[in-house]
Amino acid sequence: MNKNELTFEMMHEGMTFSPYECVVTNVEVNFFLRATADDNDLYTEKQVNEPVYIPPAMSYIFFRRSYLNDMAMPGGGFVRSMKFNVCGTAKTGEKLITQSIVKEKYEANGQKRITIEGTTSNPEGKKIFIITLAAVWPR
Amino acid sequence: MIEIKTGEKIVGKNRVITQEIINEWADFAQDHNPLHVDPEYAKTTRFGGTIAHGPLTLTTLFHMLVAQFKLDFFKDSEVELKFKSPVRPGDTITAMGNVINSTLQPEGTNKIQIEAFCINQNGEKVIEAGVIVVV
Repeated sequence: MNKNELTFEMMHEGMTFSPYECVVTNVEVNFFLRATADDNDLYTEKQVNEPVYIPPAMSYIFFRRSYLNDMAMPGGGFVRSMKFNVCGTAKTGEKLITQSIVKEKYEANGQKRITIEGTTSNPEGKKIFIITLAAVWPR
Repeated sequence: MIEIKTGEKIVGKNRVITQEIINEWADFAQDHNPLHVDPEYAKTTRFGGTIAHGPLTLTTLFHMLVAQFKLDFFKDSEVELKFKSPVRPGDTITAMGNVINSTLQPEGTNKIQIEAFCINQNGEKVIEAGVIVVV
């Protein structure tokens, strides 16, 4: 079944998306490591099922899921810039909550531009990752 | 504490990006934009072929930074980047960084500023980044 697209028209400055909650597993981290050829030992188990650190770049996945929220990204857009703030550690098995907000929406040079900021925190409210994405939205 | 001085250089591992890797990332990120995974469609675009997802390429930069700073990278770091050129299947990507400033802070921490980038096999920058790590 085709998902509805998250379009430029549907977003406005200050719009907050529903919080996205997840508990990352070792299997998911291993999949990430395989896809990225990352071999840092912070992310690998010394004992079976031992919690491991979640790679900071993996936070992009939670961030993307938080603003798409089961919708599809329209094809043809591209990322202009990204900013990552890494403020703490999180391990597999811990609950994480990502909340995203539309910071900017404007048109320039014939392009529809959106800036979204997503903050991933633990249940105690400690910020772990903050991502700011500036993108050209296709439609 | 990690000792690093102004003028030092950091170099990450080489990584060859293949279409298989791009497809694997697409599955993981649930981002099956045809520009990345459909060679026939991608031929009709201004890129003339498939390109890697930007966040896939930036993992090479994060790999280098975490390898260098270990858990210190998780304390208070900032990575601000721009994608400069597309990465195509078959490209070899290498992350590099130049420490442009390393300053002892009043509270005893060290604020390290790095001019970082990822280059392809032709020396062309595909990502440019400004990095700040407080250790």
